[in-house]
Order: sequence, then C-alpha cells, then structure tokens
Amino acid sequence: MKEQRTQLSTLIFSIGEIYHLFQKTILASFSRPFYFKRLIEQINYIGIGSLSITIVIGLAMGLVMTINFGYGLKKFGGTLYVPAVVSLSLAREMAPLFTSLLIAGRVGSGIAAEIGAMNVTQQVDALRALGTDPIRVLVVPRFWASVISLPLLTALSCALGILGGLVVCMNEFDISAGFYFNKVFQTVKIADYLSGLVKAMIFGGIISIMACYKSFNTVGGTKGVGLTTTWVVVMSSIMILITDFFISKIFIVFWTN
Amino acid sequence: MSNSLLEIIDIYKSFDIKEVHKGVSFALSKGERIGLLGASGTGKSVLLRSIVGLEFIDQGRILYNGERIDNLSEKDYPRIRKSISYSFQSGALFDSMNVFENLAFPLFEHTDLSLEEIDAKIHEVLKLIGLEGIQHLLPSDLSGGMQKRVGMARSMILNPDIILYDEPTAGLDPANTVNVVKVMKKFSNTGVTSIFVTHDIPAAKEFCDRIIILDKGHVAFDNTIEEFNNSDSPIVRKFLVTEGFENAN
Ligand SMILES: Nc1ncnc2c1ncn2[C@@H]1O[C@H](COP(=O)(O)OP(=O)(O)OP(=O)(O)O)[C@@H](O)[C@H]1O
Ligand SMILES: [Mg+2]
Repeated sequence: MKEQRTQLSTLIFSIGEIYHLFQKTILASFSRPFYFKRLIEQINYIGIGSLSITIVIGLAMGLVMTINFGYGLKKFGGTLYVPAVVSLSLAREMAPLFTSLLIAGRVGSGIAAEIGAMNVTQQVDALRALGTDPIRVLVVPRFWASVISLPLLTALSCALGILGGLVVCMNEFDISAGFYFNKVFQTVKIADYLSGLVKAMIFGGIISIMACYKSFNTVGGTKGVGLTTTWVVVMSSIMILITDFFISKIFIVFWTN
Repeated sequence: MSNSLLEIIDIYKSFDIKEVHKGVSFALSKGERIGLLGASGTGKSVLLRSIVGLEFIDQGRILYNGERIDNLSEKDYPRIRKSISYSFQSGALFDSMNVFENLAFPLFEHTDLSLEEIDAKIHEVLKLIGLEGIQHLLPSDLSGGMQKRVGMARSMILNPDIILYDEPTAGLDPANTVNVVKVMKKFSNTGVTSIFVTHDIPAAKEFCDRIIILDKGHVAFDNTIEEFNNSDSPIVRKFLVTEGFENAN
C-alpha cells in the first residue's frame, strides 16, 4: 500500500516532465533527421507483434460480453437488443480500452526494459555522446509506432469481438446472421467507431511516452530496470483508465450529441 | 587569448550538498596526452562528462578553440561531440547492434559515405585495434577488453580532435591493458589530443606526456611526466603509494 502511494505520487510529480517529453517528441517528429527504418522496426514489434494477443482479447471480449448481456437481457425478453448493445460498447469502449491495457502490459514493459537497460548501461549517454538525440532515435519511432498501431489493433479486436458476438447469438439465442449484422450497422455509426479509434491513438501515445520517460530516468542497475518496468505497466494502465473517462465524456458532449 | 585547444576555466560543480569541483582549471594544447588521476570520487568522470555536455557545470567556463561550449543547447552539442568524443568506461556499445552496426552508427549519422566506404573504414579501424573479422559479432559475444576496444574505435571513427578516455584499462588483464594502451597510442599518433583517466599508474607512465591530479575539488598537480616521476610533493607521493596499493589488490 505504501509502495502504491509512492508510485502514485511519483506519477503526479512527473506529469509536467512527461508532457515536456511529449512536446519534444512532437517537435522532433517534424524535423530532420528521420529514422524510418527504426519506425518500421517498431511498427513490426508493437503492431505486428501484438496481433496474437489482440485476436485473443477481441474474440474473448465478444464471446464473454454477448453471453452475459444475452442471458441478462433474456430475463426481460430483450434478447433482440443484444447485437446493438454488444457492438456499441465494443466500438466505443471495450475494444480500445482492453486492447490498450493489454498493449500497455506487453509494449510498455518491453520499452521500459529495453530503454531502461540502455540507460543504466550508459547506452543512452553514448547516443548523445555520438552526437545524436536519444529522443529522435528512441522515442519518436516508438511513439509513432504506438499511435499508428493501436487504432489498427483496436479495429481488429473490435471486428473480432463483433464476430464472437455473432457466434454466441447464433448458437445460444437463435439470432440469424442477417438480423445480427443489420442491427449492428443500424446502431453503430461511423462516429462511434472513430471515437474508439481516436481513444486508442491517445492511449498509444500515453503508453509510449510514459514508458520512454521512466526509462530515461532509470537508475540503480538491474533492480532499477525492474522497478521501471513495473511503474510503467501500472501507471500507464491507471493513466489510460483516467483519460478514458474524460475522453468518453468529451466525445459524448461534443461528438455524438 | 591563448592558443589552447581546450580550456577548463575555474569550474564548480556539486550534486546536492556534495561539492565535486571547487575551481578546477587547466588547458590542453593540440596533440597532448594528458593523464588525469585522482582518488575514486574526485570527479574525474564528471569532468569528462561536463566537457561533452552530458553534465552541466554550475560555474566557470569550458572553451574549445576559444568557443564557449559549457552552455550550449542540446541542439548545438552534436557539432562539438563530433570533435570531442567520449570513450565510456564500459564501452557502452549498443547491445542490440552488432560490431559493424555499432561502428557504422556515427558514420551514418554524420557523414555521407557510401556503404562500401563505411565498410572499408570499419575494416580499417578494426585492423587498427587488432580485432579483424568481428563485424558480425554482437557485443555480448565479445570479452570485456574487446568491448572496450570496439567502444574506443567507435569514439574515434569520426576523426575527432580530442578523445576523452574514461578508465579504458580498468578491470583488464595485463595483456589487454597493453593492447588498449597500444590502441590509444595509435590514435594519438594520428594527431588526436587525449585525456586519459586512470588509476593505472604504469599505463599512465607509458602513455602520457603530462599528468594532472585532482584532489578535493582542485587541481593538486599539473606537470610533465618527468616532473611527476621525480616529484617529491606529498600529494604525488601519497597518491603514488595509494595507487600502488590499489594496483596490488
Ligand atoms: N548524477 C549524479 N548524482 C549525484 N552524485 C553524483 C552523480 N554523478 C556523480 N556523482 C558524485 O560525484 C562524485 C564524483 O564522481 P565521479 O564519477 O566523477 O568520480 P570519479 O573520479 O570518476 O571516480 P572513479 O575513479 O571511481 O570513477 C562522486 O562522489 C559521485 O557520487
Ligand atoms: Mg569515473
């Protein structure tokens, strides 16, 4: 509990510096030199590398949510609303949130361990000493790879979730595929999908920037790298949950009437 | 205005309450081989890191060719770091890249050389450090001594004016120490100015033409290697004896 509290207070104290790193990353993104090869490498690691867990989480969300909503609504004779409820919550909330939380675990810890270890073995200093900018070389590729990959992964998990829902609806609740898709397309508007994708993008930015920030401040050898990894996974997950509430609120007020 | 290559002028640096430098000054001329000695914790590494802007001094000035380099912005440092390179104690090789990629990194960054030219250049420096044919190996496949030599090669590959060596022989067996000193001599013979931070007195005597000793935040000794060898100043004597014990351990 005490450890949790100190972790939280470090998060609050670091918000300013994290924002500063974000600013520098954006500035560095739009001026030379660019590192396209590193960006491709990171998209490969963060995006392609996360495909399997995205498939699992997508299908699992669809199956589990549909079963629960299905039997829940059946009591009130509302089975016909299941496709609408499932697809809407997947597109707007569940797919971006769960995919991002999983990626925060996989990618956040990966970045933290890699750059954190580089920092304690002076490789980050070496980058600077060789006349390059660690933000350009290390942060920019990871930031954009996350911001590009997360919406795509979210789209995939959302689509698979809807398919998972279809399987359950057909087998458990005698809903036909035609009716299911009809309801899905009627209910979920482009704006709903977009709001989910924009969320995923923001979460991608949060994960990568927080991971890079903490890694650059890693001290204390291998133990320090371990602490950094834990901090990144816990704090970026908390940050995602907090931001999610505010973004949802903003979208509901300004976007979807 | 002197014609020194690098001037350290009255610098002060502290971490929290710990004062590391309390007015350190000295100047380097082109081609000199300086040995920087001092007990552990006297701020030798901090001094080298300050010269290349990895650390910021609290007071004083550092001049390179007459230009102030202690208060540059992060944007201006790359230019200086091409001319003054820092060779890390551990080598600090990028462990996700093989030897070729490590050595090619500064060349890709700062030159327009073609891949063939880079290949030839890397072949040349590997020959210089006596490690031919290891291009494809990862740092983890190399011994500590080899890693240090590759790290040194990486810091000289852009033909800098000055190389700062942070304890390049620490933790090496005598044969490897000889190899490392040989490499430093070869670099030095190409006209590079060197600062050699070390606790290894024989290696310093072998390589340096001038010795600077840091003690309690000040320069306690700054003279030629001959004066150092013959000095009976208590600082030098005490220092020599202490270092002798350290080496014997
Ligand atoms: N980032 C830092 N934060 C706080 N203190 C530091 C930092 N870097 C160095 N110090 C302190 O500054 C002092 C000088 O450190 P430095 O590494 O320069 O010593 P050194 O002369 O290189 O010693 P050694 O021979 O053991 O390498 C030490 O007391 C060290 O604890
Ligand atoms: Mg040191």
